[in-house]
Amino acid sequence: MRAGIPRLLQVDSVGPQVNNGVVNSQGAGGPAYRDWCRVLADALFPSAENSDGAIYLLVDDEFLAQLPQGFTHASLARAVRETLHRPGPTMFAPIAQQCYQWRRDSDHLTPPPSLPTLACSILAASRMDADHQGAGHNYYLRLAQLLAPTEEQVSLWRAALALHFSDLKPRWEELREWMEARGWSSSITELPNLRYVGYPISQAVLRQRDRRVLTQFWELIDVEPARLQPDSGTSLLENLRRWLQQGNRGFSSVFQRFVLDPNRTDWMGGLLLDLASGWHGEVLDAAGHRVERLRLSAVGHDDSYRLFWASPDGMSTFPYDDKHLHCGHEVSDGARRLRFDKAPLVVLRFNDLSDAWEAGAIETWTPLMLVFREDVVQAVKAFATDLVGADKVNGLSHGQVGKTRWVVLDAISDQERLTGAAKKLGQSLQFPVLSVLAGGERPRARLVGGLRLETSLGRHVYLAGGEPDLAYPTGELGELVDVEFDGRRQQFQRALLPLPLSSLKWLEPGMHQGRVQGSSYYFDTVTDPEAVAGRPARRRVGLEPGAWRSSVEASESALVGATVPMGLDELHGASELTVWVPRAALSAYLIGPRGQCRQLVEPPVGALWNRAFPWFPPLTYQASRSWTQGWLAVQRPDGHREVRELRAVPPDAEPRGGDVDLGVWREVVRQFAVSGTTDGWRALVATAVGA
Amino acid sequence: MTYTMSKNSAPHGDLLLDWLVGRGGGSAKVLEDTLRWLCRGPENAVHGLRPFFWAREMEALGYLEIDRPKGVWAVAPATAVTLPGPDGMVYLTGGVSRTRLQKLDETLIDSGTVDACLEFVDREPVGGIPLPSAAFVLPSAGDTLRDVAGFLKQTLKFSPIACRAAARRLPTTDAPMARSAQPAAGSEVERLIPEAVGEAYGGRKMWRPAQWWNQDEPQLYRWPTPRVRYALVRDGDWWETGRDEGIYRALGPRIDVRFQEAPGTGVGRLIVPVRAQLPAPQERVAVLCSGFGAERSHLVATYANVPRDVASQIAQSLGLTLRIVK
Repeated sequence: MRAGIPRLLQVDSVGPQVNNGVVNSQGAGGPAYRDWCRVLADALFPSAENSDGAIYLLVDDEFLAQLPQGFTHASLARAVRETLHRPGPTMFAPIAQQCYQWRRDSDHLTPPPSLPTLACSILAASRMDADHQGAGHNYYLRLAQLLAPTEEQVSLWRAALALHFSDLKPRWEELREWMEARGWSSSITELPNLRYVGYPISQAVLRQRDRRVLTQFWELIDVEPARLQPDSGTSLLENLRRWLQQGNRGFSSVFQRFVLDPNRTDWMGGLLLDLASGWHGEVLDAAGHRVERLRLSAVGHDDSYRLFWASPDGMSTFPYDDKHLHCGHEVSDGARRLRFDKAPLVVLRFNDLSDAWEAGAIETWTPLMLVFREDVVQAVKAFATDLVGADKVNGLSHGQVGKTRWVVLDAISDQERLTGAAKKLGQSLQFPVLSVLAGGERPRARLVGGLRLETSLGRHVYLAGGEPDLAYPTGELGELVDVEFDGRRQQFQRALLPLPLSSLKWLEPGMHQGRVQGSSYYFDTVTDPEAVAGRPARRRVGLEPGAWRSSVEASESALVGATVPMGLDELHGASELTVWVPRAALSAYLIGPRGQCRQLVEPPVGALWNRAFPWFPPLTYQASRSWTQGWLAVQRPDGHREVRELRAVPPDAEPRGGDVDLGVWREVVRQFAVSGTTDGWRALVATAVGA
Repeated sequence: MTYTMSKNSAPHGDLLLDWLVGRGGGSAKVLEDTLRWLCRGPENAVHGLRPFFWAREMEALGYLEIDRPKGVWAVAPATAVTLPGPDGMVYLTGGVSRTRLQKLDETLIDSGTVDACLEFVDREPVGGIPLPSAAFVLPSAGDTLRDVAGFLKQTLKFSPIACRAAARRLPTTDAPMARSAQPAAGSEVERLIPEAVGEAYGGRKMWRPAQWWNQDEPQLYRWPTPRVRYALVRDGDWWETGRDEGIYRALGPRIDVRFQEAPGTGVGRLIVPVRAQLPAPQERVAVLCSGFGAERSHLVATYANVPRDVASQIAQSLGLTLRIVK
């Protein structure tokens, strides 16, 4: 889970102790405040290995519905109300007192006891919709409606909350610090222009279904997380606003309001960028069902191509028919349904791995194949003319399969020209043909590629040595371009390929700021990939022992599954252990109690050592020992004798395994009697000499 | 502590590993895009490499896992595995960044009881593919497995003689397969030519266009969908498989897998035809014997330091009898 990638609470990942558990301390009036503390902690904070990005504390009615029976919004409000003082200057004092004790006495394994109070305030934020009682932006009204015991007291609570809600600010900060100390990335923030109430509202922006519906949007605009840039957030937001203007799409009203609010453009852009960066290609409907899209593909060469539909994983294919572009197409493949919405044209990009053309977005530096209906021939021809010129347009490779036409365009490097032509084509067809990346309002050089580690809100972090490249949008080959980074300037000749910023030798690890052709660029580089705040936890891809490549979720990895890491306890219990013995010793013995003595014979150096370290010989070799062989006695080449205690075995311990020869044992122990200093060895010597 | 790692000889390998560790995991598309980016530009040292092969090598060395059907990848957990053989080398693999290794180095130095040494060895590029330097822990005299495990465990998971444990869990080629759809009409279907599998690179073509299906004996076919799909035709039914696994399923004992033991050591070289690459699990086991990938000539791929019992289990899992050679 990546820091900064907004993560919605997965209530179903809470675990059986919450969903199935019995809460015993509920009184007649419902769960007590401390019960809420525990249940919310379990539900809101996943185990560390399950965490997958910045955590949003999405406490809304949908969330509460999935908690154990009795944990309702009313019982939460009652528990909080009964804990607070009556409305007034000290109303939040009991919470502050509990948190003080928590800070002083607790081991901090559990979250601060303010959690139910803060959760209640988030619940109120999730209910900020306009109705006959108040406007959509009125937060205190919704919180007062939740906390006030009767409708008559709502005004009183509302006034008190408006005056004293600021007392909760330290509690929010405290919770954020606790989350970050636990290794989670917190999304708690005081939103600009929303003093104090910004904290709960920051957690209530996004619902689970919003994130699901967003996956359809990512797919529509063909988001590729690796290609997103710091400024892509604005573009994402603009496209999302356009999409929303055509219909509700199933988003929550709160989310829609945030998206359409012109005052929150930067914040929402950053949030969308984070969400898009974490998208793994799965498309869901509002209810969470998987939606899969058919992708048009073409194989062949020269002027002969075969069109067919493919599933997103490329493992199932379906026949193509001319009418599909007019009417759309839907097929079943086992339990899944795949569909294609009608379109006048489809853009394919060449994939050199599969040696085929596959559906993708229009973008620079990539050969494109346009597959289109006969009725849009003129629009496509105009598009091609804009790109390659009227004199060359008739020389383009083109043809038709049935009544469907296609044309192949070589890679276009001029982003401005491509963007302009694609926009014109989209307007002509009344159909969006531009991906979000190609659809920027102002062509500018963009950062591409790079070993990017993290994209959080407004922050792009690359591995030092893996700095991104700078792709120029326009201009003539050979033209000189000023590239300024970190206050130093260098001129480069424009080339066909993007400029690798790693060639700017003065870029030391750290924050970088640059200007190219009037545009600014920011990114960080680090040498320690794990130093990036909130570094990702391991995702669970892997193989089950004995059933390779089966259950991805159940096993941490092939390596662990296959190698079965042995715990120290198991090592203690192993009957045979390993010891490293110095080479070139005059003699070496493994000694145990009661006659146990084995002389070690030095093996030849292994071929693997000679391959790995041909320049120096090994100083040791590996020998196995039995559990009761507790001492290694070695006589060095210079005659020096030493005894190392591997384990203090009692002198009367029964030998388990190994060679027993009392005569040799006594002799060897006598030889090494003064070479060991531990109590265990002295006891053994006393036994041997005494015997 | 001695560092022998050369920063210049294989920078892309170490860089890639650090990036994998930093990202932790993600979509296979991102991995592919990143590998392709690393291979960009004619001036680049790794220009022209195929991302697929690079990812496969990294997977075999134990650094990452790729779930291709689901299109996701994850870095493998940082793990220390003891290697077979008399010298007691411990190989560090999985998601261990260089920075983390330096911390481990300091831990080992600071510890009073374990005087272990951390060493890096440059790996030869495989087919031009740069690989991360191999990291080993070399314990000192008197250390026990328990000592080393105790210290490594603070940073890494620990797994003694991983190759043996892994070999016991290998999937076998007689495991049931899922049924496969037949190629769609018009697909460009090719058939594996069994006789060509044992030949050197540049020999006869391994795949020939197939106009009809031979259902009397197991045959391996492939066709683009657009991703290349492999299916084994046996007893008139089509079964889904992968390339490497499919070759072993189709040809079975006809593939010559040999073992050459170094006298008196119990370990030796596992030799397979270069055109019949071990399936990923088997290759992982063979690589975990040494920490080095296969040495490939134009005719064979050779895995070093493989214990005889592990070699037998690999062969057994592929439905073969290991041929012992001197």
